[in-house]
Amino acid sequence: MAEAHIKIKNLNKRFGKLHAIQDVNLEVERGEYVVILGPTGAGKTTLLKLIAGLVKPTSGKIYSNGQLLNKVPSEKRNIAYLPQTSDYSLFPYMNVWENTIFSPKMKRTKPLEEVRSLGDEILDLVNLRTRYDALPHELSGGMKQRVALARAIAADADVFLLDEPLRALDARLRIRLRTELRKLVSNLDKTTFHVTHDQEEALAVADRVLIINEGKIVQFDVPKEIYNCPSTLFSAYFFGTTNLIPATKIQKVKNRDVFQTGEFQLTIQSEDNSCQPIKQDNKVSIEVVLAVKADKIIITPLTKTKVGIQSKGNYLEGTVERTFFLGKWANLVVRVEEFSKENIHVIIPSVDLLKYDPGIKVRLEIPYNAISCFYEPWDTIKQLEMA
Amino acid sequence: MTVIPSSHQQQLKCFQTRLIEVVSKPSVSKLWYFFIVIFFLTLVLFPTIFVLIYVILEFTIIQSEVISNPVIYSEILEALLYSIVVSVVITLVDLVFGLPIAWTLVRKEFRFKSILNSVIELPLAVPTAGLGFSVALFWGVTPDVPKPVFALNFIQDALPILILFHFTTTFPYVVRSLAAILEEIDITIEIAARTCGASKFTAARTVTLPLFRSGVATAMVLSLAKSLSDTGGVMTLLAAISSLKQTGTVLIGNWKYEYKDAIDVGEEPLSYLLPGMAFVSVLMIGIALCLVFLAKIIAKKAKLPVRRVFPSFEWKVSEGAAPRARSILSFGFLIFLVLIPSFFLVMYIFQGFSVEKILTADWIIFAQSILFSVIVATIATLVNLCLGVPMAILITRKNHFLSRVLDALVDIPYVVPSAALGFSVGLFWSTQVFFPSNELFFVIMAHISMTFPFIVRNTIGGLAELDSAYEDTARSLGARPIQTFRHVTLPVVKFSIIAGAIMSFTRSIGETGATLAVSPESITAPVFIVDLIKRADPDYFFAALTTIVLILISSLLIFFLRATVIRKSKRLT
Repeated sequence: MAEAHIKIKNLNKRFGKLHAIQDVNLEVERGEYVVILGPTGAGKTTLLKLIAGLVKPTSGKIYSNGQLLNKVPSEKRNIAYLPQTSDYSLFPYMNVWENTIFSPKMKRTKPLEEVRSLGDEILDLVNLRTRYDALPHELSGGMKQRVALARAIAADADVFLLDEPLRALDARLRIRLRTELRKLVSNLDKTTFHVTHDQEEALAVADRVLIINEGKIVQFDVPKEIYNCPSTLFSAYFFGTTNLIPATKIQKVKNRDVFQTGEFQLTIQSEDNSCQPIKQDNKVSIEVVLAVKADKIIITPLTKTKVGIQSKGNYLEGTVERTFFLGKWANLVVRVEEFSKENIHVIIPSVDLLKYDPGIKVRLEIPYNAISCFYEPWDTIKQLEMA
Repeated sequence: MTVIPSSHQQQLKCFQTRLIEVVSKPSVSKLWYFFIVIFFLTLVLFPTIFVLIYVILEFTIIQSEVISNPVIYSEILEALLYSIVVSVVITLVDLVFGLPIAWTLVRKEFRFKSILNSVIELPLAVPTAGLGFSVALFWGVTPDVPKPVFALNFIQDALPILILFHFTTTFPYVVRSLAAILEEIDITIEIAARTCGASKFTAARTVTLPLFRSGVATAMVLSLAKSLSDTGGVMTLLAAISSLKQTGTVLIGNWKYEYKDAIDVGEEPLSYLLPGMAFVSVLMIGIALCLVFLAKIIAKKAKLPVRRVFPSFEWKVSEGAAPRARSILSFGFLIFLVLIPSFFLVMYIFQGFSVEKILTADWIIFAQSILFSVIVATIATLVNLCLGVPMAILITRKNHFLSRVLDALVDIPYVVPSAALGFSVGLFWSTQVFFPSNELFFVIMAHISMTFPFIVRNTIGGLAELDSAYEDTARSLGARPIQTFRHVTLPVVKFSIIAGAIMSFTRSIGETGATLAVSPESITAPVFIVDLIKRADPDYFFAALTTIVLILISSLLIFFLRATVIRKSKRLT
């Protein structure tokens, strides 16, 4: 296996009492598009700044292509950093052209003619040649983002660090630009770190998603795994609409775990649940949290004929309390009498919404493999909700 | 055909690249910052408080010559009392009138707003030595001069006229700084309060005012420091109304004169003079620091009257004729108490004019004093630009424990009354043995110490407005620190730096106390003005003329600097 492009070993950063980055270990391949996701104050920006060399680590090492970066000043690292300012930190006094060729001009390694043709080429690439003399404040949000990208490309950096590059845009433009951005960067084969707190954006563009919380890596995996098999309660909570149910493990029979919540029993079967390494633990009566994604619950209106058909699976009965129309999808809130704490959220295609007026009795099926079990106390949920 | 210039260009470029490389070496930049900190600590800060060490070392002499001499001791106490009373009263008066005027200037639109905005800055360009007798001519009974036309000419006592004078000198500063800070406060919260049913006055009082504590603190410190430190103005003022009263700084100046006169005629100066000056300087420094500290505490801790609301009364004040009356009243005040007294000396140019005077005057000393002033102010400002800007960067951008310490220390020369500062710096340089004794050099060093905070504070303000993310980006794109400063930071902060340079230059060119206390020999223009007024047959005409020349120089410089900056930034855009 080829050497990782960016490798981070036991990285720590403290700001006084605040332990902003705690023992981060990370390996990223060349050309990989990594999205860093986490709540406000999780240490996302600090991590980028550490990689860029703008903040000195308290301990730990950062390598690029096997070369130790710790002592290299940021201007020599060949890592282009795009901080989160409202205007992509385009230099306000310079026009598009001056912004674009800023890096080669500062590095003073290329002759002038070469810089000129490079600048033209890159402005063509981002489709801004005609606006070369515009000042940043005269450009639209999308254009600004493209200039910022052009400037980073002209720097000929190996690594792009993008801190919320789509932040200041409206929803429609975000979706278009994130695809464009991804395509452009991938074509150039740049290793990219992209910070966001929009989970949908992360799933859409990332090769791998890095979830961090309170300075620690929570999970680092491809989007599909992160969504389907969250490794911690935090990642389960962060993606999609997730039902979190407090439960007590009451029984372990062969490969089945049975949990009690309120008056109801839920079963997890471990072979169906390949990504969830069930804790090989025969202890019973311990507190756990079960997570079920809202879109994995199968809902049917309760008709008299179907009562009593209970084959494989967990079946619940409840009453629809409210419905939310969300465009293509709809969100149902179902009250289940047996459950002690929360209501259950279910996502269904909105064409089916007609069947579920509030007050209607429904049957919910939670497939065995849709439940993830976390051996974490229920209090962590409260902390997540606070964040 | 173009071979030679291009190779020449290439050489130049090569040289530039190498220069940038050398300057960007961590060791070089560390050395540079180290030099700046050392320079600041040893040659700017230390000399300003050197007098403390002198007082501690020579305390026995002070005890025997000053404290145990009842005449001298009571003279000192009286002068200090005057200083304290005047500065405290002025601070309160400035606040009471400054708040509504600043509020009107920022939050209201009216026809003459832009004119008023620039007019309020005009008195800043008048050297205080000139302002002093200008105010005296307007308000006071001046026995030695014929009463100018339009002069009110009725105040005889020192205290009221001192307060009027200090109001004239400090008020523009206070209004300007209050207005600048008020602009930062988001108006939408005031609007939100009004949509919740508060009247304009209630909203301003209960919502904006509590957010304004820092502004009030700054304004209080400003007027305290300025009124405690003024020397030249008070000297000419009191001389013009023939009053024998003194403030602390004037006492230092007068004793320095006596000291010099004694040396001039070859006599041993009276034994109490030197220790006396040192003692008064230390007391003035102590008083200034205490009052400033007190003002900051009061501004921070004082309970504001925000609990109770008086709707009917406050609606009445907010609507209809009341606000208009208030505006007219406060602006009438401004014109009557600040603007007219400031420029009243222009009257005297017309009245005192005579051909005979022009012919017999000593033009050489006139030109020399002005040249001196310009040289001192220019050098002090340039040196401070070179040192103050990196200092500001060190304070704002380097996350170092030292930066916080420096941040606190930078303001000290600003708070120390300038006559005490000048005396202290003069004492420092005359006790050292490494540099040859050169009065001009000492005066320049005193002015560097005095104006250093202006450049640093202004640059810090500018840097605070620039998100350091821009600099981070530039660095990660391959720009060396020096290039980052040149291409990214400077274009944004240069306006603040220029503003600081203007403040530093005008302050330096109009400064009397700091120059006088270093040595009365080195005649700068403000010292020349004081000489003219204080001599046996005062020459008001020439004093006014010198003042006006100084005003012209300052305004020309301001105009020139602003014009170049604006032209350059236009070319850039």
